[in-house]
Amino acid sequence: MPDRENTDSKKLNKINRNSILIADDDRSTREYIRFHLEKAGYSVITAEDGLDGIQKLNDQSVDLIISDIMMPEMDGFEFQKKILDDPDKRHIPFIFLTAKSQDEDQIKGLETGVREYITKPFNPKLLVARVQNILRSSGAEENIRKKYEEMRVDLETASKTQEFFLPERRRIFRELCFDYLYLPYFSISGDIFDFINASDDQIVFYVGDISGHGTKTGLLMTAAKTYIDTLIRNEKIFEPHKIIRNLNKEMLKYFGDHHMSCIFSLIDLKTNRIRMYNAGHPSPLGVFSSGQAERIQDAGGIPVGWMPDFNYLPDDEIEIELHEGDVMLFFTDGLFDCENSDSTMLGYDRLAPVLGKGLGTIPFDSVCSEVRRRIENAGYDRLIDDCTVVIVKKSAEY
Amino acid sequence: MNFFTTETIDDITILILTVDRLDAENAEKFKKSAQPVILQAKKVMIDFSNLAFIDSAGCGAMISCLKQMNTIGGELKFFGVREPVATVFKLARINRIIDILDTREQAIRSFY
Repeated sequence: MPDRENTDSKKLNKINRNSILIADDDRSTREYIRFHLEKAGYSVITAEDGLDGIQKLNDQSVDLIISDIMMPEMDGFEFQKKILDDPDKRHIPFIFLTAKSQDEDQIKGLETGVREYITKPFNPKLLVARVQNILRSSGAEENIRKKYEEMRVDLETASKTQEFFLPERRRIFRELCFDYLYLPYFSISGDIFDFINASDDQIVFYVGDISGHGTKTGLLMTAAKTYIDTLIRNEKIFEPHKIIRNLNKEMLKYFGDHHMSCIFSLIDLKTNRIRMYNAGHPSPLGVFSSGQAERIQDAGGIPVGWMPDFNYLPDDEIEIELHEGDVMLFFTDGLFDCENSDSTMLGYDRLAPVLGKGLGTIPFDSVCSEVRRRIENAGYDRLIDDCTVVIVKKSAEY
Repeated sequence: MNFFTTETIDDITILILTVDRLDAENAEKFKKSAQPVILQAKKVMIDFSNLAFIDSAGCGAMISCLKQMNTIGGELKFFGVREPVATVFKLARINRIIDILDTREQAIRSFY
């Protein structure tokens, strides 16, 4: 916790005028510089050497430091290094003001990253003009730094909000077990998925991917999720093609240039039959009796948000019955749009061969991480997009 | 940056893509540069044979071309689509709304 009085005095300093620290072991030089800077409207603190300067800066913040190089306790180079090493102070502009006037001295000084190297004797008016210039540009830098920090906090909040919307992991609805893996690439993701209890015997499950990245995509994802929830829970619309039809009509108003690929499915818990409509989304994979991951041939239509008059028809739905041990994998393109060290992309067509056999014989809550592990083992360990995997396994064991 | 060159055969405008990627980085610029060409023609075909990669933003740009063609009653066809662009188109079911032909000749014939 910062000391309140200290923080307030810092604020006052900032509002009123810029403050400058002068470190010089020669008293008359200190006072001479102080006189000219105060005349120009700056508030000035003085220190006798680097060590004294560090101590003064513990109590008070400044906007600029002017330091001599040759000083008894801690010289200017060491003082400047200590400032650079302190994450709270390294942004403070630093000026060397020194009698060391040889070219090699100046080069050595400038190589440390200081803003100015001024040699004694100096013209006080020139010094003040340089200070003004530096403070003007560092004021702009400071504003950018603050804006950036604000943005970082906003993104963090948005990311936490998205996490709040995630369903619970390891959900079991009678004989069907659900689990997922969710890896947002940036702090905000356009991936979307959920399983919703539609009625006593029915689950609506969906997975989708909103095009684009960043805040707008994240907000659209939240809007889409809220709208889908309302459709299912309040309007009681469960049929996949109908949900998508409604979503397409509604979302075209808000999506602009964005669109969403998605799979909606209605699952009957009595029969373990899954009815699904695929709107331009990567087809799911299934692991059935052969044990080999294989592409599920689905019909479907185009992504939501492309065409206002596209006819999402029930004929384009497919139905699959899950038997004991069967697994279905739904995912977003981030799962296969990942790269190996040669920047070669895995790609959809290579996904099933890479996953291979045996995903049906491991516990349902290990399948997602095993999927990632097998992809990484094949060398494709670099994610370049949000990645979501959701699995459904029929297993009477739980 | 030039995204394409154009050729005309009778009343058909052929837009030959010269870039090898169409993604979030350049999709918007492509859309803007294609707009004036597309608005002048009723029959447009896009040659994809130079394109090696497309993502969802690139697909989105193609769709907005299609929408523009639709508003003026025009027709849009694709040809020369190579892997892995073809896989992306297949997954997005883009063939449900745009005719995709193998060759330039087939694409020209499909207009008549």
